[in-house]
Amino acid sequence: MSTPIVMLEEVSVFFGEKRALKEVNLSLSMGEVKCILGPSGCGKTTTLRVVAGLQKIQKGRIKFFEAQITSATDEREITAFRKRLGVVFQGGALFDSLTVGENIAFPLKYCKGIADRETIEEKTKEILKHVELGNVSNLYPSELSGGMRKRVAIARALVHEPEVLLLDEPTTGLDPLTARHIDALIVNLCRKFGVAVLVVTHDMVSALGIADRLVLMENGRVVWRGTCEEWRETSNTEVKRFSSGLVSVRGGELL
Amino acid sequence: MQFISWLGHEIIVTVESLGVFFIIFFKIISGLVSKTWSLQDFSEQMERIGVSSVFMVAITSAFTGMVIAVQTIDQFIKFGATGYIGGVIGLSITRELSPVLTGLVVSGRVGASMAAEISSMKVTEQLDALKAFGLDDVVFVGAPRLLASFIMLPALTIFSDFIGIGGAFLYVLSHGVNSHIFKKSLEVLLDPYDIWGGIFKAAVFGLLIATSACTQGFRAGQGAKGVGVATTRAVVWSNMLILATNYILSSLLFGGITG
Repeated sequence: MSTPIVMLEEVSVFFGEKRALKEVNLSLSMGEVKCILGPSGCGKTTTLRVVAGLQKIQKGRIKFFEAQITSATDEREITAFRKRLGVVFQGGALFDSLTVGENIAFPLKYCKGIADRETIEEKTKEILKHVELGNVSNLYPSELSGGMRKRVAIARALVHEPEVLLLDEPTTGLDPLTARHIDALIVNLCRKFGVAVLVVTHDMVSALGIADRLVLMENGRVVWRGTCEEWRETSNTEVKRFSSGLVSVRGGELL
Repeated sequence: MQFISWLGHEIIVTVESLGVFFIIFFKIISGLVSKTWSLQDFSEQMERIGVSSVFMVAITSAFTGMVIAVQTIDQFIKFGATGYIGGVIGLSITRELSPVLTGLVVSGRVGASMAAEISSMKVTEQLDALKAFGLDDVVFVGAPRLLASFIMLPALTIFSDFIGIGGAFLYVLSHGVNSHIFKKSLEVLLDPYDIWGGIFKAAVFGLLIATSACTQGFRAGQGAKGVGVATTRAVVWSNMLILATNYILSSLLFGGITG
């Protein structure tokens, strides 16, 4: 792997009294697909929001390409870096009032500053083809299925050619078949566009299918990191507990 | 003790909300020149605030104009002052009733939906998506709404002036007052300053409605409850601000004029 383009060093985030992230260290290199796994509330999404510049940090620092972001960094400085990212939110976060075509054209207009209608139409058509969607440009997000919405969200995140793609639970709420289609799409698009990818998920099948490296989080801390092969072979207690679901239920009681 | 604690909490919340109100207002104003907002959204908001409110404003103004005529005509006739009817009604409508009622109608109709829309955008991470594209969500969402509201409220108020005076005119006419007397009275007593004063107040109310809606929308809590609370607060805040600001502006604009 090449040198990291995103690095989190000893990053801590507090929500009031609660410490959501505890001295998290994480790196992401160009062309790498990294998955953060962990149970609900472990700090996965907060980590992704920190990388996206949507969550202020209280301790530590983030190296983003050549720049350093700390708790004292001005919001405007962070804004400039956000344009180099593509983010796919858990629910898609497509703009309801805009059509699919307008949603995809949005980053072209506002991140890239492209005003030419023909160029925008051409790029929109091209990216829709990449995510295997046909004539949906004139439909509104409310008229799409869950899987189609995810595809449109991925298309919107990639259309302005970002260097880093962040995905929050891309397969949540999808049937297993559609989820695997989305996985394949993520891998293929990342290879094609050569972006670094950070995926947050609790879907282990998905993570093991797409990731180069895995990170396991628990209670705001990174408790394990390694490759997919290492994940399968490790005897680490947290990994075993998460992957096999050692907690079981009998008569409504957690054992 | 509990009452004092509650009162203290309410005062802190109110002062905090006012602080956020002004922060959002100045942020949007400073962002207006940046052009990082959508002209398409601006034209949609103009249509939503202006065209869609025309019917309600017309109904409110027409009936208000007629009610003033109902309440005043007998007294004017009794005192032989029919020559003042048009002017007095015109002054009431242009200075106070048109801007305030238009403000309250738009606040209830458009302000509420603005707050609901923005808070829904927050709940569904659409505001985060805007930030992720390197945009200032407050400016991008707030600027078109603030500008459209600032332009459309005066336009609706001018419309309301005509409809209100028209409604009163028809009622007065049906009660045997000469139309020429009504018109002459309007010409004599109604100064362009009165009309401009009302229009100026409406523009200020437009800013208050949009800023209240944005403030409550951006501060909304999570879930459906958060959206509901934000919507209610936006209407309550803008209505209270309209009424309080109206008193201040009326005192400043018309307080020293004796006629």
